[in-house]
Formats: sequence, structure tokens, C-alpha cells
Amino acid sequence: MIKTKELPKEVTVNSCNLCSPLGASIAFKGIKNCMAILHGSQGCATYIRRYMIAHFREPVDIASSSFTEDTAVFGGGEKLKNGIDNIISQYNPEVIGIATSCLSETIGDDVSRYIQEYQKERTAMNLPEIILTSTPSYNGNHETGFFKTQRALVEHLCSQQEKTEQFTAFINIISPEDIRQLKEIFQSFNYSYILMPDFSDTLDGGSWKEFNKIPPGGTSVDEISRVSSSKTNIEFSICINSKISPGDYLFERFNIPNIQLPIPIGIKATDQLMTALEEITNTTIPINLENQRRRLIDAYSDAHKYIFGKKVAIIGHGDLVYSLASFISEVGMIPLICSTGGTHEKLIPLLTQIAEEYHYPVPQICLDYDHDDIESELEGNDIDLIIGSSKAYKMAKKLKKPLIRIGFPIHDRFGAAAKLTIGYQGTRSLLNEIVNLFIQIQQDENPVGYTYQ
Amino acid sequence: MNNKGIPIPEIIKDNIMSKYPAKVAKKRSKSMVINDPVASIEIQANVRTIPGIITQRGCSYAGCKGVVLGPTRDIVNLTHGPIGCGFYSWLTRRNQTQPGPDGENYMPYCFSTDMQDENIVFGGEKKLKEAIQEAYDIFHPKAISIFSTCPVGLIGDDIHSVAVEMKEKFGDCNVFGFSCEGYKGVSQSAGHHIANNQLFKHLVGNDDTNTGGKFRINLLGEYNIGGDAFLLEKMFEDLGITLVATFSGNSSVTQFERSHTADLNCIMCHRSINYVAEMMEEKYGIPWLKVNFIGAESTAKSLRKIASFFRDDELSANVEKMITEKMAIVKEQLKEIYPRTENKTAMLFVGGSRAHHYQDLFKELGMKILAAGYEFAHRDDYEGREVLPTIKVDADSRNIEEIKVEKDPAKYKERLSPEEKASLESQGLQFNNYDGMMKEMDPKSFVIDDISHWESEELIKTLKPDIFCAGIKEKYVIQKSGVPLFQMHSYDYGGPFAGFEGAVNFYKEIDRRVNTKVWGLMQAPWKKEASISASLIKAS
Ligand code: SF4
Ligand code: SF4
Repeated sequence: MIKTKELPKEVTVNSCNLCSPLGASIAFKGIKNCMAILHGSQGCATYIRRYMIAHFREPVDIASSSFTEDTAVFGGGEKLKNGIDNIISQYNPEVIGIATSCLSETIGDDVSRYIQEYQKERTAMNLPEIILTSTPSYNGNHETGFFKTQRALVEHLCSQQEKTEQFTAFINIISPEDIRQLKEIFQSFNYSYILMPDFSDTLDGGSWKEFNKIPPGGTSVDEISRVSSSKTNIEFSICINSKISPGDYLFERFNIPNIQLPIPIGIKATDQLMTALEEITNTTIPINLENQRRRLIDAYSDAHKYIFGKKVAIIGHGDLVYSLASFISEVGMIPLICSTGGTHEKLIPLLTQIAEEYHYPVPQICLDYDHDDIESELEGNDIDLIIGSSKAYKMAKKLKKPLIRIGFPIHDRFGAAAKLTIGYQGTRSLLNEIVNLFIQIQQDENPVGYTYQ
Repeated sequence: MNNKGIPIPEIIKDNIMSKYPAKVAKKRSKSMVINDPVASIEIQANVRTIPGIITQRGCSYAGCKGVVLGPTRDIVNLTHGPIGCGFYSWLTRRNQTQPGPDGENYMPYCFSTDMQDENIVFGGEKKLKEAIQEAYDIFHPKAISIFSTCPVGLIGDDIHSVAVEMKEKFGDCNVFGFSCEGYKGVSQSAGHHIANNQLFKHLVGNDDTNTGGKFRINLLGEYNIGGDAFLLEKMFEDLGITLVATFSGNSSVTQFERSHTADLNCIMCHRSINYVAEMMEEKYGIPWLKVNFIGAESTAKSLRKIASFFRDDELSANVEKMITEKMAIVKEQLKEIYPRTENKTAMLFVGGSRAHHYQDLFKELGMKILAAGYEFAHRDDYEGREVLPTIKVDADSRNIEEIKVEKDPAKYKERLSPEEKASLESQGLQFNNYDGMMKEMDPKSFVIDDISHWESEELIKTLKPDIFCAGIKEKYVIQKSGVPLFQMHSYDYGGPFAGFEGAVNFYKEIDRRVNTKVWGLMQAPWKKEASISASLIKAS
């Protein structure tokens, strides 16, 4: 059953969407030696920092052009230039990423012109690369901002060049631990690659011997500029609109094939990645990964008795919902409700196909839903598990259902940055978490308290 | 360094300033002063943040919706704007509440109009009206309030006339709006003021019901972080003091509506709420006193102030009895902890009152405050209210409405005759007074307004505090350098810390933080000591 809202609702109650500049900020965090500035009032930057810091538990600096009332009326050119000056003098970054906010977009601030003026006015200085991404939140959410920013980076930094034996991977919003997992997989294939945006160190770093203004790590300008020499691109999204896809842009402009893959959660999605990598690298899957796959299959069969037939509600951004639904089906659970704050029509055939393949009724597919809508859907349904962000906790508590936290934001559990869910390894750790949860429930509910499950 | 090996503050300051571009240094220099508690030193505060300098501050929407209105459980708070602003202010402060028998509690909800392209182009009033109608139909709340975010101010939606229209339409639901667009003012502080004004206009004084009690007070500027209000409510109850309303920890619409029936306003956070107190005095004749229930000694002092205001022997006796009993317990607990915290050092950079209030607790632990400052306070919070007449009103403050308040002919009641007031003052009770933070801080300690990253980094490096108190945004950057950071907005998910019991909780918490062994593990054993000291020598 496909559900978009029956009655269009004007009030959003407990949204599933975060705003676009937040996605942009996460993407900029994956660029080496980069400082992001949000063009608008300082509140947005402060709020976004606050959310990212709570999730990753790492320092996150995002500057703001600090609009005031008169800036809002007369335009933010001076504030922006001033802000860039101050960022340069304090941080001396290689890249400055500017994301617009609803305010600067509403007044129609011509930010590209400001940047040109700025570069003309400061010719004597050795200026950093300045990347602009347009991220009004009244048009798109955090996913949109994340991909738009990747696209802006390649649009700005790439030019025609010779192709080399190398591929580029554009990631989705996954955890730093997931990024490390992905890099390990790529390294196993022993082939040259560029991964962007790599926030695995910048948003999950160690303690510091000395103070770092900008945390070390990230995809460098040099690497991004070499993206156009890649033979192929892998883009970990099957939901995003072509207009904001960095891979589609590179295909149109440099004729680089773009392989769009789901976030590799579960056997099938990870197999798809392996097949793509085999093709790109012209090798066969390395033995370590094949072994991981075998162990995962083994775990699936061992896990079966605990979780088979359990009914699940999945809440997340489009791509995450798809991959989780696919994984959930593989292990014999049933995704009863698949829900996202986005409006990805593409999800409908994709999820229908999974249902057909595993012979269960097509899940309720809820697009453009908020948590409150989902809660009402769940009320009449007999589900065993909710998978969603920390924001699903309210409904989980009310409905007395267990919640596994994946996605963004996770601020009521420890270790969001270390959460591993992708690849064969990640799938296994996610599976463990789910199985253990059900064992725990069984133990809690049983008066005897068996310790041998 | 001076001869005791303590770095000289003036040199630290020069060092910090030398790294700024000249213009920035000139501006920042006025916001960073070396304290002299006796001579009155002027500090620059409540001025615009410099673009591109990372600040702790948020926006006026955050101050209005998040801080002042956030802790009230039975108002549906509807954010009019794109989704982010509402999402980010969704339960991010740790206010707690105890819903009454009706169970009405909207705090876990985040209501937003989630504006889209077409609303920005064609205006969002229609969407707003429909959203209000839906919220009303679903919840039938006592009140719905609307908060404007930045884009709304620019497209010119008139939220106030929408509010009036909907209020008339419903008849049984108060609807009112806050023009708290984030670009107004320089920080959250503007939002506090806007919130105060509208609460006063739309709620205070609506319901004359007097629920009785001999000693009727309001507590202003207490937000029930970590359950502080629950402890304070219990304390007042034990003393026979009736708490009519709290602005706004664990509060309800009805409390606000009846708050004008109290006889005394007690202000905790002066910055965020003094406007309501001033207006209530003007209109209803309720005097106000500054209190502080953070710290055992301060709690005792504040209770004595309230008792002396009411001039009632029984109340005074009860207060003294409570102080004696509770202090005995507090001292007993402290005795064990004190040797481990004595002479340790702390820095506090947070909020508009906490950086001051919490100094009392640290002093009780025998700790020394090396530096402190607020995020969004004004000069009077630093230097005391006597500087109010000298504060220049700049463009950013001018755009916040000052509402004209007059004596209410029917509801105004003189609580104290001029003679009574004079007599109390002669006994040392100070009305309408707040001395600010600086007079209570050590000479030569740092006082810094709206501290930047760079400044805190340098302070930590040179003064090596044992604990740094700020917010979540600062937490991980400070801890990377091996200094524990205590989150003062959210109490680091602990608390309560108010009153006598709260003080003991705090002692234990700080003991754990400053005496943890985890920081000692930062250095891996295979890194040879010699090479570290060598690099230190090279650097200095
Ligand atoms: S105004 Fe826009 S960019 Fe700023 S917090 Fe709100 S939704 Fe996000
Ligand atoms: S748009 Fe304005 S109101 Fe919203 S978070 Fe940003 S500064 Fe605050």
C-alpha cells in the first residue's frame, strides 16, 4: 500500500527532515582543511553545529556571516566578505565552503557575485578555493544539501583531463566508521580510488597533542580536482534527483559512467558493490571479503530463529530506508512500514520489487511523513521493532516498542560516529544488535531468565 | 611569568589580541577585561558578533522559543518557517516538566509550518492559519503561540493579525505570536526580551483567581533544567511558601495568567526575565528581589531574603530551622569531597547568569575561578544594575519593542508602604538590585564576554584549568586538549543542582570530573617523555 498523506497537512509535527545547510555542513566537513560558513543569521550555524556536535561528539566549527536586521534588508555582501576575511586570518583554510540559508535565499542575495567581487578585491592575497552551494531549506532537506554540496565541489574543481585507472566514490550520509569500512573494502581491491566527502577523521578523530584549528583528515582539493580523471564513478544513492547528483554531472560533462548503488547494507546491496568493483577493477572479489560474506550468510542462518517474521517499521532518509528494507527482508523480517520525510517517488517501485521478491505484501510506503503521522500509522499495527533516529524515541516509548537507532541524529545513545552498518562486516554488526535486542526482550519477559539462548 | 610561576594576565591578554587583525583586536579587547572587583571597570557586552568568528551564541528565536517558552508544557509552540529552525529547537534544552492531572504536555513535540518554495514566494499566512487550525483540531490546547523565523520577517507575513483572527475564531484558545526572527538583536537575549513582552501582554493578569497562601511568590528565570524546579518547589512547600508561577520551569498557562496575584517576584536569571519583573511592578505593584538558589550558602541567603520580605516570625523560624538542618547535611557531605577539590581551578563561559551563579558552588568546593563570562548577557549582568543608565541603546536593541506599561487601576496593589520598604532596605534588603558578576570575582581574574574559540584555547593553554564549564558546542574541542568540560546548559545530563540537595549533587559531580584518571591515559606509554619535553622547550 502506498501512502502519501491522505489529507495534505499544513502543520508538521516532529519532522523527519533536517535542513539543507546541515547536509552541506557534513559534506564540507569531509573536505581537507576546509571551513564552512553559513550565509545568513548566526542562529542557523549555531543550531547546526549543536546538532552535529551532539551526534558525532566532536568539535564542529561552522562560521556564520551573522546577518542583522539591516543586512536582511540591504543584502549580505559586506558581512560575507568580512566573514571570509576573518576565517582566513584565523584558520587559513585551503577551502571555504559557503552554504546559503533560507534567509539569504529569501532576499535573493547574489552570492556568486559577492565571491567574484571578493576575489577581485583581494587579488594580492593567496586565496583559498571558495565553493558555493545553494541550500534553501524550503526546497529540499539534509540529503539534498549533502549531495548538492558534493556536486558544487566537483563543478568547481574539476576540469577535462586524461582518464586514469581510478574510480571515485560519492558517499551517502553514513557514519565515520562506515566510511572507514568502505575504504577498507576499496583497499582490498588494490585499485586507486577517491572517496568523497571523507569525514571519517574530521568527525571522529583522536585526542590532540596540540590544538588543531581544523581537525586533520578529509578529501583534499587535489583529489577532488582529479575526480574528472576517474574511469568510473560510484554514487551511493539510488534515490536522489539527477539535478543534484555529482555523478550525473560528471557523466554529462566528462562522460564518466556513473554507477548508482544503494547504501551497501545487507548481502544483496553489498554484493552489488562487489560486482561493480570487480567490473571496475577487472579483478575478482578478494578472499578476505569473500570470507566476510560467508560468515555473514552463516550468521543469517544462525539468526533466523530469533528474528524471522518480526515486523519492522523503518524511518530514515530515502536511501537508508531502501537499504534497510532490503536487508530486513533478507533476514526474514518484514518491513511493514517504510517511511521518509523526503518525497522520493523512486522508492515506490523499488520497495514494491523487494516485497514481490520475498513474497510479502507491499509495505506501507509513507512519503513526506513526519514522526507524528508515522506514529498514527503504527498505532493500529502490530510491529515488533522500529528502526529510526533518536527522534523516533518518543513514539517508541509511547507505543512500547524497541528502537534501533540508525541515521541522523543520534543523540540519546553513545557512539553514533562508531556505528558500523555497511558492507558484510557492518551488516553483521547490525544483525547482532537486532538479534541481541530480541534475545534481551525474551529474557526480560521470561520469569525464569534463561541465560542460554 | 611572575615570581610565583603564574602567567601574568596582561601578558596573556596581549598575546591573544596580537593574533587578531587590528580592527578585530580593538573590538575584542573591550570585551576581555582583567577584573578589579572594587574599581568599576567597563566591559563591552551585548554587541554584534563579528562575522566569521565562531561564537557560542544563538539567535533571538532560540532565546524566545527555546529558552523562555520552551519549558511551558501546555502551549502548542508553532514555528513559522522552514523546517530546520523548528527541528533544532526540539527538546534540545533539558527542561523537565510534571504534567498535571490533565496530562497536557506538548514539550516532546515540534510543530512547524515547514515552509516550502511557494510559501516564500506567495506568502505563508494561509498555510499558517491552516496549521493553527489543525493543531487546534488535534489537541484543543489552552494556547497556541507562533514564532517567526528569519524568512518570515522578510516575506512580511503578519503573524499577529493571524493570531488575533484565530483566537477570535476559536473562542477557547489563546493565540499569540512572537516576532522573534533570528536576525533581531545580537543573540538569544533579544528573544528573551520579545518573549517577556508577549507573555506579559497576552497571559499575565488574565485570571484573578487567588489560590490562597500567606506567602505568595513567583520565581522568575528558573527553567527546570535537570529537575531543579522540582527541588525548589518542594523546598518552598516545606516552608509554607506558595509558588504562584515559575517563569518558566515546570510551568503552565494558568500559572502565568495568575502570576499577578503573587506578592513578591524572585529573580534567578536576571538576564532573561528582568523585563517581566519590571513590568509587573509597574502594572501590579509587585516588588522584586534578586535571588540565587545555586549553591548551599546562596540558597540560605536567598531564603533569608524572602523571609525578611514577609516579616513573619514563623516563616523566619522555619527558614532558619531548614537552613540549620540542611546545612548540617551539606557540610557533612562536603567534608569528604573538599580535600580533593580544594585549590583546583575552573573557568565558566556560559549563558547570561549561570557563569555567575555557579561560581558560588565552586567556591564552596574550595575551587578558584580563573576566568568567567557570559554568552549573551548585557553590561548590567557583569557590572551591576547601577550601570543601566549609562548603557547606550544601539540599533540592535532599538528594534525590540519596549512596551508601555501603566498602573492597572483595578489590579494594582501596593505590597509595601514606602515606610515599610525603607525599613526593609535599612535592614539590608535590596530591591530591584543585581550586583552583577564582577564584584564577586577575584582581582586579576579574567572576565570575557562572548568568548571566541581562539581565546578559550589560549586561556586553557596558559592557565590550565582543572575544569571548563560551557555548552555542548565547546565540549569536545576542549576535551580534545585534555581538560574536562562540564556542560552547564544541560547539566551534562545530570542534576538537579539547585537548593541544598542540588548542591551536594554538584559537589559529587565536580569531584568525579576533576579527579578522573582518564586524562592520564592520553599519552601512550611508548611515546618517550624526553621527546615531549624537548618539543615543549623548543616551543617556548
Ligand atoms: S532558516 Fe533555513 S537554514 Fe536556517 S535553520 Fe531554519 S531551515 Fe535551516
Ligand atoms: S533562520 Fe533565523 S530564526 Fe531560524 S535558526 Fe536561523 S537565525 Fe534562528
